[in-house]
Amino acid sequence: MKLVEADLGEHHISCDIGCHLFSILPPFNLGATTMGYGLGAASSAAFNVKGGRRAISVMGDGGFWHNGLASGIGNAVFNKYDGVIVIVDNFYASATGGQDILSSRADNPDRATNNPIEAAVRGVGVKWLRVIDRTYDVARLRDTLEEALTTPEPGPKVIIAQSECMLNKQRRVKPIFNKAVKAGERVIKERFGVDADVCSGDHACIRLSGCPSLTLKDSGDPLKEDPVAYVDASCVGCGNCGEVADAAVLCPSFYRADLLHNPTRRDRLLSRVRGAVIGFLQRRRAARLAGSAL
Amino acid sequence: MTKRITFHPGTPIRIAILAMGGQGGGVLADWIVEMAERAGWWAQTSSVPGVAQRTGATVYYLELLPESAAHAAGRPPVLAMMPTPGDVDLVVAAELMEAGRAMQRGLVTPERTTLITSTHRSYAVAEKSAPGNGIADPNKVIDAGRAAAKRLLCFDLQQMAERAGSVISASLFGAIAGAKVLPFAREMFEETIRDGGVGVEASLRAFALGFEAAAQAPADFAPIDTSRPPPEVPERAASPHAQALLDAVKRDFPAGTQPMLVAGLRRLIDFQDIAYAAEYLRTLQTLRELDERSGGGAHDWALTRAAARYVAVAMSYDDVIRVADLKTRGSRFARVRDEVGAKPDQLLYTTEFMHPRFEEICGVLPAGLGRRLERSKAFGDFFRRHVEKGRRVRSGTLTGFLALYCAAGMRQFRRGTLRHQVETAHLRDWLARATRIAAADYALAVEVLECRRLIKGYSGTHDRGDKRFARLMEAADQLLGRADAAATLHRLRDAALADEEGHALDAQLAGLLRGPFTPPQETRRPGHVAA
Repeated sequence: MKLVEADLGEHHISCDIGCHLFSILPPFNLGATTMGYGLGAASSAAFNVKGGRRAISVMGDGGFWHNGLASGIGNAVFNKYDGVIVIVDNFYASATGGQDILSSRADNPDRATNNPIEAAVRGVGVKWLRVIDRTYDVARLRDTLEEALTTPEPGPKVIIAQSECMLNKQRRVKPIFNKAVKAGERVIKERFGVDADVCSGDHACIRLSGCPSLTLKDSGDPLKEDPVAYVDASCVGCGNCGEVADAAVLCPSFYRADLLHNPTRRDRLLSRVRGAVIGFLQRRRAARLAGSAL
Repeated sequence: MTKRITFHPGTPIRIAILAMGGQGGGVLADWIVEMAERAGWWAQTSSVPGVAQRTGATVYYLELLPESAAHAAGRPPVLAMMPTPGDVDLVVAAELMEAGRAMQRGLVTPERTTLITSTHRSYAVAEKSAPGNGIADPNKVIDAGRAAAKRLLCFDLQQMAERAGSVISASLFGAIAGAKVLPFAREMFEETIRDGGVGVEASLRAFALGFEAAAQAPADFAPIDTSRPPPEVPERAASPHAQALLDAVKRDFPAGTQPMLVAGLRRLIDFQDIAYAAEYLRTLQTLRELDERSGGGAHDWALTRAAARYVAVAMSYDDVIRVADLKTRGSRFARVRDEVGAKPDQLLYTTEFMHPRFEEICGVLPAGLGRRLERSKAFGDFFRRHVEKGRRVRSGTLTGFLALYCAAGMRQFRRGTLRHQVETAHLRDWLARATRIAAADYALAVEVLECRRLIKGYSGTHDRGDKRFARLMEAADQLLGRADAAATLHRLRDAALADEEGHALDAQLAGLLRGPFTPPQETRRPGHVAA
């Protein structure tokens, strides 16, 4: 939304209850109101007047099923509301610890899960609906938001952003992952990092990402006075930092490191071939640099 | 210093622990309670958690009362749930700013509080998001602690915990034991850890480090050294080709300027070649002569020192070639392996997030061609629509690596590129301005050189820095002749680095420059009534 606002200016944003509400804090400073659980869209209903810019409201999936479907979406359809509603579908009630709700992806023997939000939203009569199955695709989400804010189509514009809550996912996946590593299976662990020598220490990435794992360290370069960005070991590998740097065209400092546990014979062979060529070229260049080193 | 703390008889020992999520503050509180209960004390812990799963500071509060006191009173005690200002015996902070916050809340008082804090930092968003260096001065907190606490103990307990392969709660527990603020013996502390049964060996190692540090703590702590060590000037160059440059540095330049010159030469050899570094040195020699003419000897050669750093930075602009070069180096591959903790039998592949814009691509073309394409609207539109998009390059695969390697290999054509031409012209203008100003105002000329710090980054970030730099250069011209010119420009530079939008700079420019420079004229028209 920061990127959208850079393009289209500030908008009224009403928030729901949940982790996304931290957007009202630095570095984002996004969000004008919050009223209660599931009331993101209901609380911006009053802004259904012709204006230069549409209001944006945010709603979590928990809040959506709690009352948002009726108080937010149904109400918006009925009143021909012209704003944009973003529904955060992160697979369960995440902020409280991952309890199941109607749209949870898990199979629960005692409950009816897997009822998609999309069907419910269409069911109450929303015509303009976009489903984004990977919220971490920052560029795509930005473009969809911009489209929703500028399309001439009347009625509520609903965006369903789907991606599992990374913190809960880590808790769920970590034991499975460790077991797979122990069992000798070929698994990949993702992590993100910043090349300190490429980073220029402007911290634009930090202003746009807000990730607690993205922090600072000394550049280690006497010519670079300002500290550089650094991804610490608490990174859960969501990739938001790299996506943001790419979508906002910030810098090429970010990298994703895929650590391959228990490589197969084919992996090893391929790696040996690659390593031979790459290593040869790297040594050649390093030797040339060493030849003139001070 | 092993001064015994005496507690008010009949009242509990009151302890506040301030920690952030994930630091094990809860574990620490539980350890203390268990240890006290084992010794037959009454003990209670409560916590006021911060928000969310990984942020927010939590305050744990403990009260410990010996059984004898309860017995003397003849009834079971009522222990409090919350710390009250002026009424805490021991404050433990798991991060330096947490200590600051404890003082802000009034929990640390000179009559009774021992303050134990780790000196490491987890930076706040406001510190991290400044475009320059927004990191707060840790010594201010330590100074405040010295004044606010009866006794202050501060060391990097995080680093001790990491050294022991444990978490900070263990080294904090050790520091509490070592400070001898609680009436329990070391063995009792250690036994509590052992009975916990989780990561015992690592915890005990961290405990021991914390214990020693606290037991041998000096009466007063030296301030934390936040200065950056200057690069060393080597005896001999690492290769014969570079020796001549090193000799010239030692022969022609004052000693104080040599470290930065060596760093500059190294950067430029790494960036281009020996000839390019020699060019840098020639530029610096001219500037040193200017420095001498302007009486730089009396200013510790500030002009040469500033130029040594920023001319090197300006000459090693970050172009596509540079980025591709840095990304494909063997040392970089090794560094990434090290950073993610890859074991020898694990394979590692990195994916680079690249997004070269049209301007950057034109920049690496030969100057004439690049300029023509840059001017062509049709080509630019076509390129932006079809070619310019985010690219994920897998630098560990042959295609990905070779593409980057070839891009890096273009360094031999670099001097012919459009970007080089643009940067060289920029450098010339900037140095010409500094030279012109040096004759009249030495300090202002130094500040003009230091302003180069604003230009950094890529794409939009770079453009923004460029624009701010240009505004400051204009300001420097206008300021010339004023007594406070250098100080003003310095303030403007700080303002330019304070926030992304440039609000601080706008405000300063409006206030400082226009204010005393051209005082607002009060033009009263006849018949006009002032509101």
